[in-house]
Amino acid sequence: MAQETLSVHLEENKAFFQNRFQNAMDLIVREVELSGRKAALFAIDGLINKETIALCIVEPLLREEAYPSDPKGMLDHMEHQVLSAAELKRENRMPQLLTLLMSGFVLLCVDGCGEGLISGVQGFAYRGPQEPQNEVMQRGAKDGFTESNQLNMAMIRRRMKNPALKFQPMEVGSQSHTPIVLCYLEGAASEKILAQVRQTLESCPLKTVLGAGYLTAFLDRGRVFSGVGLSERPDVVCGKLEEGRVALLVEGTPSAILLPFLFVENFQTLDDYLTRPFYGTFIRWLKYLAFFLSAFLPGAYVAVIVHHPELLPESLLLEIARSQAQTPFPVMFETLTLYFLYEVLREAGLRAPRSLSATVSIVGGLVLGDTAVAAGLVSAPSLLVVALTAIAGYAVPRLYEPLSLLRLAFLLIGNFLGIWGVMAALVFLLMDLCASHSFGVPLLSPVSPFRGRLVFRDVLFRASWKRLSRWDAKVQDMPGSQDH
Amino acid sequence: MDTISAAQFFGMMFVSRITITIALNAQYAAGESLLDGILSYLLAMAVGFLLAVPVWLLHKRDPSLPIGETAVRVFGQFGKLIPLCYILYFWVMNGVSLALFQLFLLDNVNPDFPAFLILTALVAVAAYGAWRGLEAIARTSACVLVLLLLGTVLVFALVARRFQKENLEPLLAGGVSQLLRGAALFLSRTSLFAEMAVLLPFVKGRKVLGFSLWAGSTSLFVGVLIFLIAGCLGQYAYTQNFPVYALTSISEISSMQRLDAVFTGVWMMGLIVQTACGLYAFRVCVSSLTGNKLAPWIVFPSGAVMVGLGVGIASDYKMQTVFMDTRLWLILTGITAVLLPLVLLVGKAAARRKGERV
Repeated sequence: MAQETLSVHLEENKAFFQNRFQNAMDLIVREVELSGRKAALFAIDGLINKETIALCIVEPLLREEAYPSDPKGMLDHMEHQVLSAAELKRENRMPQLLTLLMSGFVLLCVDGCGEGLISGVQGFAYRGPQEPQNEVMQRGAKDGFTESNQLNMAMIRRRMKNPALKFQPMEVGSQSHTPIVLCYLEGAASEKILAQVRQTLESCPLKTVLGAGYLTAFLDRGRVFSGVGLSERPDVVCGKLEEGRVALLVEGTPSAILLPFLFVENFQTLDDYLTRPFYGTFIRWLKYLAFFLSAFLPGAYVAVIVHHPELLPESLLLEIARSQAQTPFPVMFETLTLYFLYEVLREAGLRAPRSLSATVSIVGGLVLGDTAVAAGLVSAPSLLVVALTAIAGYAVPRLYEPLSLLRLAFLLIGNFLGIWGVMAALVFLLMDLCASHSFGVPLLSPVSPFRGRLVFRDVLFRASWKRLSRWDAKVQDMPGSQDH
Repeated sequence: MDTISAAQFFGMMFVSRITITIALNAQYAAGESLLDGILSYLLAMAVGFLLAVPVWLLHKRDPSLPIGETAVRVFGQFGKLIPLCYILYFWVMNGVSLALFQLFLLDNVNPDFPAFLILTALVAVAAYGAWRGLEAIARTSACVLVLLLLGTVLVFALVARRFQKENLEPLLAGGVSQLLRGAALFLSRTSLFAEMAVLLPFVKGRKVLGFSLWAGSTSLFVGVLIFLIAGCLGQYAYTQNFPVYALTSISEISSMQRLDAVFTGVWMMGLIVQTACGLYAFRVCVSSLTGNKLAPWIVFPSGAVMVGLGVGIASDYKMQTVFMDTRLWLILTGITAVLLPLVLLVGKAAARRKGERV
């Protein structure tokens, strides 16, 4: 039977750990003799700071001359009078000890004592805060989350010096034991939402969790637009916590999961709130326009060219007809090919070594596109439409994933069913959005169900801070939500 | 099953009414005088208040029970005939609306692919909405309503400059028979009573106020629409199968004349809401028949039946004469709005008396 607790015999404990970490060269066992009694330190190489162990644990242990003779008294003496480590606690349960060891803790066992002293001496190398790559701001702070939860928590705490800010530790992954932190503002976050999030995480059946993306599938229901948000920015997370949302920090992931996440939030960025209201409003409308362009333009273009050319003004129609006459492929095939080419180039640019990505972009974007038009393989209007669609998609980066598939769907529907198909698909999207909830809050709230006060405050317009600060708009108070 | 507010329900019904109204044939609706259509509609709404009384009374007795379940409780197995009648009504009603849409597509827009494909896509989306629930349909209809109203205001504003007073004819010049015929037509095409009978238990809030506002706002809409058609098109309106379409196409505003497909698309969006509503009502009736045993996906085969009916009616002249006959629809509206709720009221009263005696 597996050993459940620490044994009073040091040799047995040593044998247990060596057995569990058999063929694992990173287990460190440092044996010492203190006043004639054997003791040992266990740690995992690479996860600990050896200098801290030497200074705060080994050196004080060896310097002390007189230890009490009984093992329990000896451990008490070490804990209260010898060791200078900042974080010390007792533990005797083996599963917990194993997890702590693999999280960068050091374990001190004394022969004859069934308890161990555990100390946090994490010292693994991690990346320092850098400017987020996928959430670039013009005026916001330049630091983003890192892979370390401790550092991420500190970044949030530094911005919110509020004791109501809570960081609840949790664990997911029956094999990986990945530490996660449930972060919320007590009094602001809904207890119902918190309970739902906790329950979802506790019942998560994953064995290994290597990133936030593993968990989003369990926090979100299958639908076109996600009800789970991700942010790489501590300032954004603080703003969301203030609005009653819950953030999840997953060890090893440089972004936080935000719950619940509404559809309108895809169009909101911190920059909107750092600029003057009229400009913030203008930028937001640009993003709405970009979203519609990105989703519908290729589909509408193909539908109009193939089925409803009468919708176009005569001069434009003639231009397009002239371009189309010079290319060998139907407009649908042409647009589809260009779209796939663009996605291939994007993926290649993303995965290629940094030194080559610029070359890929230039060769792909300029050379290929220009040559294809010059060679008469594709028409310039189709190229323009695909390029415009791609650029518009980047104005709302959070929606890039659903948009990339939606525009493909709209393109095919537009080709086969014309503008009616595109409109039917639009209603389908609306229905899906209207039926979706994120932790009990309607995804399309406050637009549908409609609440004018909220829509005119921070959806259609970005009100001034004077107005925004008059009252808080908590996510659980959105119209139609289960708490409302 | 989810619940919605009275505002959402009657908003949804408003979209359905607009969708039906813009498909109405001017001559068919108003005979020789287009403007009489306004009075006909007002009369239809006034009668509608009376017609709705049995449904209201029934709803007041059992606010949480759909009509199908009430019927089964009152009449046992025989009671299942009542939800079956409503199922047939919703199938045929929506089938006719789809047929009208297909006829419009074939006559005026003439797509270069089979029109039934559009109908199939339309009903598939509607079935998806009915599958997701009443709240999804209601919220979607609110968004579609905004689009419809924007489109309508745009059309009204642009064609208003073509308005000529000379085109207006005196009211009731041809006597009251035309007024009554028009009112009968409007009433016959009102599916609201049947939908109220089935769906009111899922509606919360001030329903009577909602009904009154629905009647008022649809009267205003129909009034302005007919007034503009009469004023802008004059006698030309009588030659048109779809006067709303004619209104935009003769506006001499080139940008609008070209937007046929877009206007049809907006009409189609309204039709999706109407069909989704019908399919959801179907789902409720089927639940009454099977004791909530049937899964929500039943709306998809039901949608296929509607498509079949729509395509069948649109492609066969004999079926058109049968299914687009005002008399038939007046009878069907009478049965679903008045007769069946009255039968249930009487049955309930009799059952109560019997219970008291025992």
